[in-house]
Amino acid sequence: MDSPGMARSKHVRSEKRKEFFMLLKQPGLLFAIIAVLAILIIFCIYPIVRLFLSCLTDKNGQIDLSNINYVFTKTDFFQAFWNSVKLGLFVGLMAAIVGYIYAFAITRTALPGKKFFNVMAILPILSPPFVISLAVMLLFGRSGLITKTLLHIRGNNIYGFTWLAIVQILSLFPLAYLNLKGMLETLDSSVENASRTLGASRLKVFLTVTLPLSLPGFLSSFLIVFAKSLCDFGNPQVLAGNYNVLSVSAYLQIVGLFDLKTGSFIALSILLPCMLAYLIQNYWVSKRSFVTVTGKATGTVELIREKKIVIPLFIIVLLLTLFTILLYGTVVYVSFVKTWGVNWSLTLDSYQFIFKRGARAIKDTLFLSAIATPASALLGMLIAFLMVRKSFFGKRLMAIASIIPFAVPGIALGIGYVVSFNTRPILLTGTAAIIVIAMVFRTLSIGVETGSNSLRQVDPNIEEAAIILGAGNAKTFFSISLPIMKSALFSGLLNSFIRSMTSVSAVIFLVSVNWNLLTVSILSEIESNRLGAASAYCVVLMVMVVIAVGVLEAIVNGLFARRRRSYE
Amino acid sequence: MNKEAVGVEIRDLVKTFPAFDNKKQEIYAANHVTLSVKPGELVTLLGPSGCGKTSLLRMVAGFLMPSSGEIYIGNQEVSKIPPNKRNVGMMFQSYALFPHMTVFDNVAYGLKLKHMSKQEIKEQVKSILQLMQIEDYASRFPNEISGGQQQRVALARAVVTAPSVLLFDEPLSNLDAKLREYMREELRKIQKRVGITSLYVTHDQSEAMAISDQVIIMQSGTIEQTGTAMEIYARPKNKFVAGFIGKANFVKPDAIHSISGGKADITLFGKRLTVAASELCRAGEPCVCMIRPEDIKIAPEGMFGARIVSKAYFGQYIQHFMEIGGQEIEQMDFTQTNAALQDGDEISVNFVIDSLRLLPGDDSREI
Repeated sequence: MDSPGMARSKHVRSEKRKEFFMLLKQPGLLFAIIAVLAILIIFCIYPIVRLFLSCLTDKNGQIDLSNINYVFTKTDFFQAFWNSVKLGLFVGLMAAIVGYIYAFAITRTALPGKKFFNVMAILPILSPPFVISLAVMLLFGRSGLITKTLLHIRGNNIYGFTWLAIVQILSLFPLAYLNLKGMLETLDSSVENASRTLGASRLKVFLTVTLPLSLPGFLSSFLIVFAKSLCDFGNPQVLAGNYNVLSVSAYLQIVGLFDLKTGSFIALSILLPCMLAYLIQNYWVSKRSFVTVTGKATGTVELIREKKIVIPLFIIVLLLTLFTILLYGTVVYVSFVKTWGVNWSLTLDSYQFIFKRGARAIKDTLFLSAIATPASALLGMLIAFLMVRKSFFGKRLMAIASIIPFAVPGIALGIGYVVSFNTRPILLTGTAAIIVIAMVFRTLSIGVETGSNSLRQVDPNIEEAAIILGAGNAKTFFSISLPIMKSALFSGLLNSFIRSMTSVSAVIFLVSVNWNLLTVSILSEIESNRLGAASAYCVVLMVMVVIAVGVLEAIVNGLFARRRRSYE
Repeated sequence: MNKEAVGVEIRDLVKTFPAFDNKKQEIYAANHVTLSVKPGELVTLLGPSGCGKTSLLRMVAGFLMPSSGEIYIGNQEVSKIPPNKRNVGMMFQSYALFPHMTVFDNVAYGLKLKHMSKQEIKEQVKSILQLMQIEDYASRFPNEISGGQQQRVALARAVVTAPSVLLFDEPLSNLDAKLREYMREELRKIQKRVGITSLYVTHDQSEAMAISDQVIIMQSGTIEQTGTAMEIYARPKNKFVAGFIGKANFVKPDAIHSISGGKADITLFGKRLTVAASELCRAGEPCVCMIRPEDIKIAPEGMFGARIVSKAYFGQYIQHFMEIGGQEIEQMDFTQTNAALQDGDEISVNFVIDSLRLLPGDDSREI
């Protein structure tokens, strides 16, 4: 007689075998799975593996650790590492606190102007990464409006930890805010109400119920921002000055000293704390979450109306928002001013300048993003469909591979692409293709994530109904799943478009004489101290993003409009 | 819709799932299940949730891979054929209508996949919508029609492609009680008219009894009993079946003198009786006597003395809990003549002896 264990393995094996046969009878599905796995391996895993290998081997492929020895002894690697981590910890903590205050004020109190504050908080996510850096330079820098013109401070030094941290907090707290807002909204408010009915004061409820329950959300926000701060390249490149951080030092090793090996190693070293944060976030914090989604409508939140709580929160949120408006307004204003800090007359000079010099970059950015965006979103939806609805070999590999380019620092991905695709058989450096591919895979996991989430909420019976009526996998995907995932598709498209348009670190090594990008142009304008032109570029970029939102919405709605006909 | 109906046969089907707590252990969703559905018949799989009935249905549909065993639709073994090539129709508990398509397009979906001409599709969809009495809603979207209408659309969509087998996965459980009763009559009428072989999953025993040619009672992946509703109600094989279809009291006899040929000679509450016995009863093993609540009649000169413990009024009948021979027993009184009885009253009762049945097991309440 079989032991239970043996019986099980026998059953599992026979099921697996049948599943495999079933797959063979669906060549389309099989092909899709193999094709997706193949391209994920080539463009998500291989570059990072190559990056590792290139640090550890010499020209002949022998293991060679002298490079690491060189990095440890001859560069200020440890200083940069410590600086990066210190910055990340501080920014993570502050952004999580600010995000929490913001999220609490919006979800739990009767704050006036919630919608407005909500939009303003998300703005930094939608804009190019160094708009805030640029604005800080314009307002508080050596010839800044506030520091020089208003306060008559000469030569104010904004380069270094303090302002870099402020800028990163401002640009990254929205991530913490969105995360915490989602968490506070789903946190069953009836436990808070229960605590109130037991006679607890507001403060007591907050300290003994709300805060402990939202601690996992706080921690995960901290970790997300920590990782983002570590991977950030644009802001440190502009503002770090002598405060040496890893991403900038990797960039300088490659661009300044043409030392690809050292640069690769430094870029890879960012990976370690990033991955650590990611793992803690995914496997430890998320398991401690108290968020309960039951599908049952829980009691509505009893909003806090006490003036002594609402007014201070309102003032904090308002100040923060006003500061954001000031920063963005400055950039817009500067783009119309003749010479910032010297000649304040309004002109379109900056725009004339960038449309003459940067027309190529604008066109290229738009063109490349326009190719990358639908490719990324569609591939994302396809992967989501396969992972949520199908069972097949290599599913785990697919999940991990699709998230790698998003999770690794952009600078590591960029260098990985350079070392991987600069020789045959896949010679891509210098082409438009490599930029598009980098954009596609850098933004892929957004599509996968939104797609999977929306698909999980759709009754799988709906797709089964199509299958049982005779629809194959492709037919089901295109006629049923994709139209149902419409809103996920839209947000996937939008997100990947914005990311493609605004990415810096992943593509900075991939641009070439033939193909240039807006963000890289902005960076070089900032470095050449042509801040008016940089501002004008930023404004153009933001306007293009806003237009894209409208266009994408129209396209998606048009493609999948519910069609009502008369059948007579 | 006028194709020759084919049967379904399931032979020695096994499906296991790994248990969550112990990886060595496994749960059987189907434990060597064998059954057959004759052409044109409607067979119900009835059982408590988790008994494996839906898994069985999904294996016939092809959404779930059997661990071993064979499934025949007509003469074809289908367990290696993907679901979209099996030519079965299915009605889902949630209806699973395509939310982005009109009623017409929902129903036409399967026909379009068969590459029919537009004109043909239009005619077929129209005629099925007429049959279902929903032709007025052709251009509405699923969220613009009522639950009962959605139900009809789902049925129309499932039968319009003339599948060889129709599978029902608790299709009525989302409807309110009144509509459910009405729809099950409708469903049965249409199934008979279309003459399609059907496998129907439900956990509602009255639904199963109302519509099926055959009922299959399942528990823990195993078929407990197969038969018509009447056979199963009158002659359950074991306590589980007796308790699942209808209500039953299980009373331990004072003595079992002999069991043979489907009859048993027992002493019950001090009276010697000959009652029917399940073929699973063995002499020397513990057995209980099943007494249906409606088979207990209150009578002035009854064989058994009883005392009323409690009562409840249900309109059609009065439910009495009474104590007979130290055991508490439920009785349903449909006569309305004993309404004046009070708790604690001493009465006497008769049993409908022909309906008593000896079943294997002890008199513990769990079944």
